[in-house]
Amino acid sequence: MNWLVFAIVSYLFLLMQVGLTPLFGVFDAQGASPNFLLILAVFIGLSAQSKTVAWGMLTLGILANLIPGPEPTGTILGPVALGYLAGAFAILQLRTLVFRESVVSLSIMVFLVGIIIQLVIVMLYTGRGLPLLLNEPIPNWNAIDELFQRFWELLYSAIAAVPLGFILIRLQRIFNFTPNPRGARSY
Amino acid sequence: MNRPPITPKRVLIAIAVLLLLSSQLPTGAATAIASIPRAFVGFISKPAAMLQRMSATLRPGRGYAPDFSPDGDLAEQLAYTKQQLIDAKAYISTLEQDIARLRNISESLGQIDAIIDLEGIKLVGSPVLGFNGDLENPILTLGVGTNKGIREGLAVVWGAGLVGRVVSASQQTSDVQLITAADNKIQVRIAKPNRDGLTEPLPAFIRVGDDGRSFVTEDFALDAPVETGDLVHLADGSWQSRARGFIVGVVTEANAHESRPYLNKYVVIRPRLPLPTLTQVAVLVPVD
Repeated sequence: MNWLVFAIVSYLFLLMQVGLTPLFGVFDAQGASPNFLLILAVFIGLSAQSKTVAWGMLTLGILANLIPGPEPTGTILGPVALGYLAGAFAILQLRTLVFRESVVSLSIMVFLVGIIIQLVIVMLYTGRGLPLLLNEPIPNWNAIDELFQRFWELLYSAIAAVPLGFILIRLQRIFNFTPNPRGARSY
Repeated sequence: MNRPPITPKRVLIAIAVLLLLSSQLPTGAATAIASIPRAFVGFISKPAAMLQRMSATLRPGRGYAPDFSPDGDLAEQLAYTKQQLIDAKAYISTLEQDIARLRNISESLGQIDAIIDLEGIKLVGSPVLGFNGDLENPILTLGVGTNKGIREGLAVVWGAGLVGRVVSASQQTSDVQLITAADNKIQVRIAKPNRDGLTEPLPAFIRVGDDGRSFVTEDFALDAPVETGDLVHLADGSWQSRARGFIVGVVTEANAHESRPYLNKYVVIRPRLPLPTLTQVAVLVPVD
């Protein structure tokens, strides 16, 4: 993969995530907004070489983690990044089952892999409030409410993945994804 | 074969372990660790402000753009808390309305309780089937009759208010003449609404006024302590004894008499309810 192109596209998607969420978000009791970084991460996961997927998704996960989150006093680095890392391992197992150059596959994988990512995120944030561990819950944090809200966000992201996936698949050439060597192991 | 000690896989695992530890650090330490990278991401995403302005133009007042400033998250939490406060105030306002309504009901029940001696009496509820439309002899037809113990002379009430009395009864229905019938002259007592016991009720005779909907009395002296808002209770011996105390109406005017302005008061009394439009009433039926 061309890491320079990856960095530029990641930066553009970061700007979209920060700047366009108020435009596309459904701000009501459920509050869903599309996750552009997740769409890019799944695209990388489907298209890149096995040993590149984890690094690419981890990078995007760290970027997503550094966007203001549920903790009001600052950012807690880790839950979102680890969620994306877990998603990387999931996508490496699942991508052999799908036709990778299809926007439908991308949309479905955004939803499915997104479920795993969000489960890990919610689990790690919720774990902070457990008496056996840190016992410092996030203010106004309710795991069930978060799962419901993130489910709607995944649905919205899967829908947004169709037009964005159409563009990304057309740009595959500039990413210069190299095919997996024969017998290569994935992480 | 010598393996390098540092491989990409081992580095990835090390980073994952560090991230796991960071995610479970105390809030102060975790946010301190992430503060520099977050500031960096905030710096490089400054061009997104243009997109945020476009978003705000297209959808004014919708949602919150991520704020990387040190208290940006707090601003969002503050907005969330403010919304909760608004919702709570609206809920409290609804509760206050419910409390006021229940207080009114409680006061009415208290008035009924103060007035009524229900020993030996049962309240038989009845729908009102119709009104004859005659202001001189207004008659309500009820859906209960002798089958429920209704007979001539029984008083008919609604809440604490006096409605009229039964003038005829058949098996299934009965006719009630309203208190505002043209020939009615009723002996009453006029009392202050708070019933503090410090003021004696004033006896009076009232008659139906020319409009057929209210009562008047011209017998009070000019300095009599009758005021707007005073309650008028039945005290007439020709009515069913258990009906005494029920409210005939409320004083709505208490001014100097037109013809005798230095001697008498002209007092107007209106029933508290629009009697011809009642749909439900209760009859005071003695328990044998």
